[in-house]
Amino acid sequence: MNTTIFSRKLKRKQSSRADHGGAEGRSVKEEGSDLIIRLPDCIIFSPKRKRRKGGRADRGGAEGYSAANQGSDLISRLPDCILGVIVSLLDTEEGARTAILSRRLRHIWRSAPLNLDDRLPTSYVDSRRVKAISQILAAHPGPARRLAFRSLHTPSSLSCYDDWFSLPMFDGLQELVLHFPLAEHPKMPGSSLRFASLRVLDIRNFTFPDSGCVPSFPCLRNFCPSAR
Amino acid sequence: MEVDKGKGEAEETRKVAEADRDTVTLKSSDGKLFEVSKEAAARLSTVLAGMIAGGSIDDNGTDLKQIGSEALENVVDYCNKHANSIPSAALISSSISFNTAPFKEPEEWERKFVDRLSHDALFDLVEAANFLGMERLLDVTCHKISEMMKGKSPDQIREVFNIKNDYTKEELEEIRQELAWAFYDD
Repeated sequence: MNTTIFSRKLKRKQSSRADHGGAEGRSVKEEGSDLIIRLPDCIIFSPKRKRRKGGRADRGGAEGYSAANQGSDLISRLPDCILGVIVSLLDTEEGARTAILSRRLRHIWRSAPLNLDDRLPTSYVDSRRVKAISQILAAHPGPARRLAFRSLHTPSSLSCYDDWFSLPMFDGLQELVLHFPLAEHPKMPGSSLRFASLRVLDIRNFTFPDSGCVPSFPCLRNFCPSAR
Repeated sequence: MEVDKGKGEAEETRKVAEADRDTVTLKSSDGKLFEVSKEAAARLSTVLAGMIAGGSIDDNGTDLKQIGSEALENVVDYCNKHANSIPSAALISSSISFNTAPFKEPEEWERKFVDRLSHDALFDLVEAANFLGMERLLDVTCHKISEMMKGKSPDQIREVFNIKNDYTKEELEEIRQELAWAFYDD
């Protein structure tokens, strides 16, 4: 099991777990179970949740939940790594907006691998879209897991691809979706051939660049060329 | 798929499990026993796979103290349904880590499986899947939770999940400015 992200989270958890979890923040480790070494890292510091039945009044005492909150805030109790998965399944803007929900969720989007999808409002012109994408790239420290560009179509926007793709945050990119909205078949930026860890490549109305060498994606599992 | 509560029946279950090594017996935090295909358990849960390989499976019911009987019943149900409905090739591709693998949309039966769960049961299942290292089940349950957030305003999301807004006005304004590009439609 690849626990890279878990380990990264673990570091943060170790330094920050006093902030949340409070009275209920006993770690699994304290249970003395011999199963501990088999657990995914992120669960080790996951707050142990009391059973809701019969224990509702106790919940979250140390975390200061208000009495006005009738139900239980179950989502905030999930470990960061799980919250990160949930948030990165949302559209980019929607994912980032989760920061405003509560302090617990403030840093989740930034700490989860980026899923950058240019599904911005259709009224956006290319220049506004490029500006928004640049802001997203500035707001997220990386790494990026997925990149999907489907709407940029002016030559000046396409020239941004090379600048963006060269950023270190894309070194470990897993999925690249590159669609050109018009049937003109421009060349893909040369830097798009550098993603050795790519597992999914979905290109539409683009042609491979003339790099003099055959593109190599050793991890590719899913290749979806369409319209050429 | 609760196997049993009574002692006599537990003994019977143990004998059956011993005779037929195709299954393992799991015990929930509240002492209920559940039987699951050993093959499916090992394939879908890295933790159970490790326990089976390491010989630490208890024929009388392997203690899973972190998982209540409702959640464990759902886990076992999922394993059995998964074993019956997914061709083996698909399983191989789903065995890579959920954090790095391309996300694969839930199958129709997986959607139905999580759709029928109550709010509480869904979150219990997320935690059980996390505890047992069940990546596919985590994907499916996390997908369901993200679906519950999609298309909603921050206030609506807070309402659905009972999230308390513990920010000050100033902090809210600061975040809105920091992430102005994400709040274009407000």
